[in-house]
Amino acid sequence: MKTFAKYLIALFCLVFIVDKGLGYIFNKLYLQNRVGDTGGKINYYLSLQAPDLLIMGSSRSIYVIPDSFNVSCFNLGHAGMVDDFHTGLLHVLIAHNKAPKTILLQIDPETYCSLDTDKYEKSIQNLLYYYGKDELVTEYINGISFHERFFYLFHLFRFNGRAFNLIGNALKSYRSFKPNNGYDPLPASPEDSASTVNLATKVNRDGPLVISRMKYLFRFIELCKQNNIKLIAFTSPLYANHFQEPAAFDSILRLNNIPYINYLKLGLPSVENKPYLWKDPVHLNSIGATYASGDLARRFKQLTGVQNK
Amino acid sequence: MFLIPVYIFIIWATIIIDYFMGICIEKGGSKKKLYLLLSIVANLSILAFFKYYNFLNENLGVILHGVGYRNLLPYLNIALPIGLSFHTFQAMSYTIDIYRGQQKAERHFGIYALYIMFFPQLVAGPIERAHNMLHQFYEKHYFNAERTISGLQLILWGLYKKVVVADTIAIYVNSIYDNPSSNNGLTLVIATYAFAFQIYCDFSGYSDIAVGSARILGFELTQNFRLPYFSKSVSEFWRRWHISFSTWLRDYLYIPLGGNRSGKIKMLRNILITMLLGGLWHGASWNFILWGALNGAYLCIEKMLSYFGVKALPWKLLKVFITFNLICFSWIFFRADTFHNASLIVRNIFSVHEFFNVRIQDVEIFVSMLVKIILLLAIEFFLLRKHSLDFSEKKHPWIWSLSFNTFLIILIVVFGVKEGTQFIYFQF
Repeated sequence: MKTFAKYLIALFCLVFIVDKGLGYIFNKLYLQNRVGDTGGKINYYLSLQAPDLLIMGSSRSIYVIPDSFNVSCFNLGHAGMVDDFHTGLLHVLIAHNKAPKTILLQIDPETYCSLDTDKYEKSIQNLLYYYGKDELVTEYINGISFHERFFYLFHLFRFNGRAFNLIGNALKSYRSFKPNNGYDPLPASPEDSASTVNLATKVNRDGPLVISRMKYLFRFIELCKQNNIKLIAFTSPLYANHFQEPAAFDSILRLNNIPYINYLKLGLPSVENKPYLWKDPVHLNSIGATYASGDLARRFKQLTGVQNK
Repeated sequence: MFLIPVYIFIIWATIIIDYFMGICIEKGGSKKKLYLLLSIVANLSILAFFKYYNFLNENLGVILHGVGYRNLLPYLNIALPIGLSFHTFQAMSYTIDIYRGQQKAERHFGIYALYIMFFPQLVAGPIERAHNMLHQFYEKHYFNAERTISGLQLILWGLYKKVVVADTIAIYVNSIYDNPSSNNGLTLVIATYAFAFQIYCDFSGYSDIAVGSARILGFELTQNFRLPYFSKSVSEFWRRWHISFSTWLRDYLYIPLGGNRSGKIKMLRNILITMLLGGLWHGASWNFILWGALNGAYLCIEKMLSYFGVKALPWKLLKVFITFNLICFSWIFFRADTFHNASLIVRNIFSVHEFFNVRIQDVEIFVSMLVKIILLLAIEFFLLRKHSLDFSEKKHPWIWSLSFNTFLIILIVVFGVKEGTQFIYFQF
């Protein structure tokens, strides 16, 4: 027993040392990252002066071209992320004194209607680097499950599943990084246009509006209010516009004085049902992006009175 | 996976039945065959009801519909009790061994129940024989540091295989196999090769964890895998893959059917029946039956070639390559969700159209998958083939063991897939 106890202590110490040592190296590598959705884009944003306007949201926000707006603007959209991530990220930005004056937040109303209970509460894990560094991110990650906190006893867990990305993005940042405004165009291709037509289906809400699922959005709104950030919500157009969000959703935003540019209701004939403007039925390509961004910028101007390009 | 507490009565029912049947068979004299039959019928009835009822009912419906009748049997919304196929086969081997006089009936009910319910291997094997386990439950077990460390190392190695390798590969394989119509040629070939490693790491990873956990408690379980993809023939593959199951099939199905004792034709028939039922054991689906049939056909062809005096290929590497590809081809039927998808995948693989147009959705995941597979093969090669990782024979065994276990822990923390999938063999 004594021998085994000694072994365990030695193993614990060795793991602790390697975890700390490698963690230090990975941390350095992470901070070098200036590209990619696994932290590089956030790092780059944090290295800049806070812009007047910040675009946030899921992959359906990354088509928005910041240059369409006549104010300093950065697109910090992250593919696959939902409200818990955006709220956590906003908290990180505020903590770093990088909060913008205005945020254009892309929201997907169907995420509040899905019956899938935990699908929309785990994207916060993409901010795992900030576990223990940011209060809100830590709170949200701990909220996923009780045992979550134990993973983070390892310093290296903050880079779980990202080692190859970290190295790849560090190399890209070193070799080919160019200053940008966060916009990453999705190139147009005839294959994508063809598959857009084939894949075009309804984005169905599969259940009623679940108010409790909006808790992260409410927290986001609260953070904006506390920090004097003007918040404007928008929902991007779809290739074939079928989805109708529940009326209650609109009212909730109105009650909170959040202007809402909802293309699902407004429609955008310049891009709808035009396959050559789409990467797939929900994501605009770089050509479609110019039309949609122009329209968004025009509506943004109407709401804020800022003169556009 | 759901927790259905009432299912505990199923395993208890089989334990009680087989415990008493074991004693009856031993004492039975002329009636021992009847008792054996009762035990087998009881075990197989439970298995058939939970695992095959809906499948049989569905197929009966198709047949009846074909002849103009309606199937009035209801579809049952039942979940398969976890590990049912494993503990049923384990229980059956016990009563058959008693019948054959190879095993004494266990009189201690608690020990027998422990043999069936021994937690490390209850859910997904290895399927243990009574003669390997029962005596271990009577032995006194003392804490042994060396054995505990060795068990710990096996658990870590199993975890590496599961959460690092299998779960990473699953992300890639699922993205391809979930869309069989949009992929073709080399993309499907690569995904199928990847699945071969996924299922190996998933299942052998579980076995390693089971063997490691048992070893820490002082018990030795059967080794279930021995580098199966390094096999030079399909028959060798089946001697190295899921060993506890393939030896079960050999001892309790193939040999009782006549084995190779009744002529060539009957031997081929026996091989086919054994492999077909082996396929069906995995699940109630035509895909599994076809998977078993394919492996049966491979084995038959191998036997026939040797009968006709066709000499084995001279190059070991080529033999390994051919065997690996044959096994991979059969995995298509194992992995595809439906028979339609399996045939679509086979058709698309052999379609010349855009064969070399490889689709890699996420380069990082693909690279990460390749690196992990290479690391796996390297470690397995040294671990099993060269025994270089048997630290007990080294000059400073503790330092080696500490370094290797630290290496594994760090790999699991950095590369482990947190939202991984359930063990594939849990569904059987």
